[in-house]
Amino acid sequence: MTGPVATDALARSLLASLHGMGPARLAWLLGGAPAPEAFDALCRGRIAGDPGPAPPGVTPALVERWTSDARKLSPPAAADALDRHGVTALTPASPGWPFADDPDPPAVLFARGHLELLAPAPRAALVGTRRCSAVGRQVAYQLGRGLAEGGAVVVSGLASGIDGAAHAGALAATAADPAPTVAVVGTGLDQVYPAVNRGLWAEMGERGLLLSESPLGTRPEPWRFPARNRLIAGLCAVTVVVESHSRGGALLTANEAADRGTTVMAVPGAITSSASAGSNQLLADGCPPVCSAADILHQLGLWPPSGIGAPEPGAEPCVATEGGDIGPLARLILQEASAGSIHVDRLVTVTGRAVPEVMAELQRLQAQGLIRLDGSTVLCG
Amino acid sequence: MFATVASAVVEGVDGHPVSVEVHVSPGLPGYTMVGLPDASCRESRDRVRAAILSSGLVWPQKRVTINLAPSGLRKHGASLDLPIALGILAASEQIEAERLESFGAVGELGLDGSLRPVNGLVCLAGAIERPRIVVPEPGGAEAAIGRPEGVEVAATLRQLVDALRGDGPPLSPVRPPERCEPDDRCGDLADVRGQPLARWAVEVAAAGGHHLLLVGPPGSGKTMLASRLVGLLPDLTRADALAATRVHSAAGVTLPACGLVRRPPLRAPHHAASLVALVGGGTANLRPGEISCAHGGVLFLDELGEFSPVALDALRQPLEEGVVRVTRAARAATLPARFLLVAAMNPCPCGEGGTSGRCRCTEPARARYTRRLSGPLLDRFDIRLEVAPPAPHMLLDGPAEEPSAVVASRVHRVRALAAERGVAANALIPPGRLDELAPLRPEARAVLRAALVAGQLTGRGLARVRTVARTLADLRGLDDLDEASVSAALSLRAVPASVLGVPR
Repeated sequence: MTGPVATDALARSLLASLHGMGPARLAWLLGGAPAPEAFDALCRGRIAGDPGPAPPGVTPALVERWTSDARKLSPPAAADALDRHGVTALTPASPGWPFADDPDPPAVLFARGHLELLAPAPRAALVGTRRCSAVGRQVAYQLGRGLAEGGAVVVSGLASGIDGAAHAGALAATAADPAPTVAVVGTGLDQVYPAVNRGLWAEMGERGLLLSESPLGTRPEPWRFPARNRLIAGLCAVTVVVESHSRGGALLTANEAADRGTTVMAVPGAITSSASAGSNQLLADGCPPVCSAADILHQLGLWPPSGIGAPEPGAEPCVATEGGDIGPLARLILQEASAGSIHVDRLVTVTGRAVPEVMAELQRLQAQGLIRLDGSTVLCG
Repeated sequence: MFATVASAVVEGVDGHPVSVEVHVSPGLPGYTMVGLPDASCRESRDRVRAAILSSGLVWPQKRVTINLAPSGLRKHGASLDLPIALGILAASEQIEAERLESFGAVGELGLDGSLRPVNGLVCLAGAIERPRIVVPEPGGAEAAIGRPEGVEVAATLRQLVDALRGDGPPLSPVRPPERCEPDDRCGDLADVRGQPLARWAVEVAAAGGHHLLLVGPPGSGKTMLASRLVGLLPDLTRADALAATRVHSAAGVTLPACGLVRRPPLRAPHHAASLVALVGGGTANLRPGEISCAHGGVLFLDELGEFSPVALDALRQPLEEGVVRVTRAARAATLPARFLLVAAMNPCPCGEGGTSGRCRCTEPARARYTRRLSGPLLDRFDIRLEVAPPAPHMLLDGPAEEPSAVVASRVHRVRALAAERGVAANALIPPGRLDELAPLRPEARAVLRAALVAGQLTGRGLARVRTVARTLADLRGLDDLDEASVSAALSLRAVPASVLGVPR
């Protein structure tokens, strides 16, 4: 040890970075003592407070390794690294700590982004398999978007497949910051995993909130992902399984949610689709089905909205098609596109205009952010 | 006794002169061939012997030595059969050696003494350094393209020998073929109904020579569109036609009846094509690849996602430079390869991906499929199109669409404008001349600036969009690029998310 450890959060960060340190071992190591004290004790080869029986796998040799590793740690360097990556370490003492009543809370939580998303709010988890179908991805995107538009915070794991699509949907719901979405990841916040989500990861850190129980530099390790699933379940009043194979992480999240007594919901899928086998089993076990974002919002108490005759989230037209400085062709296009997605061929047929004219108008509308062009398909908003 | 006959061999699309030297001397009967003949060339001994005997001539029972000079150049194929036979006959004093001094010859021999054409006659004819050449009769027209004067044909070895001895009628010279009507087998664009966007994109691609990527489910008409595109292109220029004919001749592609390849070729190699089949090369002889055979026309790669990534990335340099440089340890060749690349692919392995919502593929399967396409290759496509199957009622009851002839006239006009600018097509305008040839109106500049700031466009993308906008403005008869042209060009470049495999 090269310097005194000033704060609780920093001490917890340092302890969490030790070899093979999981939530249970960290809780045991702290033993109810203040973290700086526990760190100090470890550096002197002792366990602080009243440790009780060691968790499985913690051998005297491992404790010795922790001691020697802890002595080499540099608290100022660790604090610097957190600063450099814009990461805040949260502890149970931090204001707005969301795991106060959790049976299995994390000892420390690393966060990057808009911390106000941790304030009490209706939160729903959208989870599912990485090996999803195209339908599942689309449903996750739409539900994510619908929930965000309906006033809920979308929580997921930022994996490829369902998780990523759910976050993407929530991010697309609004241009304002913060976007109501929280990602709980299984690696250090400086370790993008999976790489395919690099762009999404950066956007989540800027516009939403990235959370992790693992300190900076933690590489993806298989055991960390089930552990982070309990945090997703713990953050949310409702956990929705969009698609899951008959075994998979999403079902673990559902179990964690059931253990905490929160609602588990599932999206019905085709009985021929193996990607829906797990979620359909949940329905058979009695979970309420999700057929639209409104079903989830209803569970969260956000539906029906206070305004009478408000449109269903995710289904309203892209924009007000009245007034403004929008030309007649643009108005026609927006009307046609309001159903969700439409191919340019159909727009040309319906509007009766020449293709170049329609293509130019589409580009203008995209520049104004009123539609999106995905190849030759026009998407709303 | 000694005789020399001038001939040539083809490598890549270039003919190289070869002189066949034959020495016949007293001694034990034997036959030796030197000068790097490959196996097919070495086999000529048995063909030549049988052909000479079948023609009622005498095979010398002496020591026969044949040297193929220059001895450093590898000789392949049967094109040297005829000069070898003539050399043996002259060296054994059955014809006068002086008669052969003004002659070159090339051709394969049948055992019955008949002459058969060989690949690459266009390239070979021009390479033989003699005032007159003799080629097999069926290849006369082909040889006359490579050499307008002094091509004579013979059907059999006997006929040729009689003419040389003065025993028979002299050989008839061949004139270059007259212009004939090209046979257009590609269908008419009027067949494409209910897909206005795709029709328009094909027109723009043809007019400006822009590479085109079609993404769509099976049965959405991608192959149909690609074959219609060739029909819109104007005839090849004289230089391009000659270059294309040389390549086709060397590669053994059947030439049209009139000999010269005047219509832009359409080449559609199967996706199992190897790297060498696509770009050219090979160990035995250097053969032009499919991309060279598509010179001046369209290279259509159906099922782009199924091609090997190595083969696809090999297309990048030819796409940029219009030629392909094939280099092997022993030799190198530069082959023409300026083509319009049209590629078609399904959005995912099951084909139902994209926005239809019926896709059965798992995420990893989709990722694997799209990972084969490198970003740099995708970047070469100026027009990327998601093709949707036409609405059923449009197929049966839709209005009649414009036929190819009408669209082609617009395409030809734009190509003519490009020719006035000194380029073959707008797509080939060098970035340095864009400001001069494709000036932007202020509002168009603003659109491009916004797209650049939004990260929608890269530097290369900017130049490509300007060339497409140039084509669009030409189609509308404008001098400067206006906002609508630039906007539409940007829309045409939009990448279907399914192709890049990005989450949204």
